[in-house]
Amino acid sequence: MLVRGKGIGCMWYGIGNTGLPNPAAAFVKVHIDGSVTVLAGCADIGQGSDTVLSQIVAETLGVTFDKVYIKSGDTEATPEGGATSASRQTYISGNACHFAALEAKENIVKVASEILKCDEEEVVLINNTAYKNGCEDKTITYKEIMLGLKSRGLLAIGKGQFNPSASALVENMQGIPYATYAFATHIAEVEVNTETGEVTVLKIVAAHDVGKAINKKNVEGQIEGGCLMGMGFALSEKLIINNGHMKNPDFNSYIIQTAQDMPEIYPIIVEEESGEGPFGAKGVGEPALIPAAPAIINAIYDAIGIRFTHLPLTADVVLDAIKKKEETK
Amino acid sequence: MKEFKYYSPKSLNEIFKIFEAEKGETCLIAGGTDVMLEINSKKVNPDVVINLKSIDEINYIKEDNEFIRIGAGTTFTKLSSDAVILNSARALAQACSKVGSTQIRNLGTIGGNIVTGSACGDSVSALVALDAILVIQSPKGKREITLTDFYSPGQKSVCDGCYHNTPGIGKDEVLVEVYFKKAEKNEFSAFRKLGKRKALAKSILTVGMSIEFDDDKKVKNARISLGAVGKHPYRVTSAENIIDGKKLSDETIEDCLNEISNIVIANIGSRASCPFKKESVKGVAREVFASIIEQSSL
Repeated sequence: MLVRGKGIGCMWYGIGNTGLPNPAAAFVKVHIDGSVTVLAGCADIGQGSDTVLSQIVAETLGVTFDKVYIKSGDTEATPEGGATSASRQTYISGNACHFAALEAKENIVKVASEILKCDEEEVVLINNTAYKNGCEDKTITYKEIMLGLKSRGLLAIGKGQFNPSASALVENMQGIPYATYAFATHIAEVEVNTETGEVTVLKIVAAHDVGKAINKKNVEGQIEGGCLMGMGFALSEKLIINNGHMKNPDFNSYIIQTAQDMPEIYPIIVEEESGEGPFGAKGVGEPALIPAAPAIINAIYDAIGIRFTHLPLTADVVLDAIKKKEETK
Repeated sequence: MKEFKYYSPKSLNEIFKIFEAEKGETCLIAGGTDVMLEINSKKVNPDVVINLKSIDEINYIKEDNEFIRIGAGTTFTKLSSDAVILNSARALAQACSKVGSTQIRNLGTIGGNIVTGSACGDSVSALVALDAILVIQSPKGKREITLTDFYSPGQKSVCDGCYHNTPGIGKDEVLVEVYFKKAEKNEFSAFRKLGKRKALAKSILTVGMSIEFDDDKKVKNARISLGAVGKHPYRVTSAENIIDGKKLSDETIEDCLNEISNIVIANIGSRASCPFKKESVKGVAREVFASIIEQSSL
């Protein structure tokens, strides 16, 4: 028999290293042609930080994304970025890039105000142009501003660094372990085959407070990937250790979920801006994984009335529990 | 991996000449989805590897009066989408569509699945339910053997589970064809696999079934096969006998499922997987019954 159930999983998660300093830094230089180079220590391991950091710099300077070149994670050329871990890079390296861009922007705004004959506060930088606030039809190009810098003997460079305002925990674990937190709720719908023990995840609705989605598609991708990992955690990924050796160190025996196992996923992005992050952004990397497994096991409970306290719930585990429940009736 | 000689003949005649000329350990390779792994892990150490991929005369699906004939070199991809197979041997199409992944199905062949002799060969389980017959050729000529006899338990000592030296095939022989009877007007087949995930999964168990009904909707002829619950896929005749001559009522099916479960216990009772397989086989087989009843009522 196929029975369906729905379950909810919630989480909150601290962004950055726990109660420890974990700074990151970046350098920004705007070139004579209005293009930009960013040097950031942040290692892009596929999560898309190069894209997000470039977007932050572009937005801060008022240039388009295509003008920004980023060199990242190269210890010969880039400053300290800290680990790509703890869901911290958008938040911490993002801030470092934002601050570096702000510093580089100072001379640009100064010169632009001189050319536009207005106060610095009135200068609007957008789409590789500048204008006096309210005079959108009288624009000057970034290139003109940069030539203005050149003739004045100025450069547009900036350094930025950021360390979240967390503090070490005292003896009784009191303190401020994280400067900001991410929140999420997943709702999963599953179908349990009560005769074979197979669990199929049909749908996951995944709502994530990410502060500010710097790149919406990227955030959705992280959420969908996290759901897949959460399904593996809940249903199939079993680490078998014997005498300190992993007994199933390959994808033939360590069963991760495949594209064919993926359910319908509906990511919902919530933007409750964080006070400290770049444009209010927080992190989403690990949070995307966390509520999926609890939502799935709650949905299984809803379907068959059995509480599981060990993972993964492979078909044999589920069927065994169903049979035991039938016997005790 | 040790060095080996490699041949890619274009015809069966060429192969037999190579057999004659080469005296060392020979290994035939078709899709290579098993052989490559075995060579890399040194489970087989051939002196000569002969690729069957370029031999067009063993790559076909054809209708021949009441039979469907399949060349041993036919891929799973081709079998799972072929109109003849889909219409007259649905269990085989379903089984082939569940093998490994798209890439494996594009390479892997039905002949390879049979000769590799894995306990969990998906297409083999379906073929057992279709009462398939193998055509094996050597320089001396052709001979035929039923798939069940090919994995004859009497020759257990020669057959070591998943590896080569499968009983029933000699050193100078090549499996060239597998054939079976086309489904009769009131005959339907189905297959279901239980795996650890939906793709790229080795079978935990498989059930293949082919049932012919008479005009009163009573079972005229039933063949049920199990895979991955023994050394090779096999028929479960005592369970078939339970439904023989009867209508497929819930009770009859239940009796049949219990017998199937007992057969699983008899075959793998001492294994750790038995408690799970003896139960889940009932659920899987019930779904196969449901699929057949659905087809028969259309």
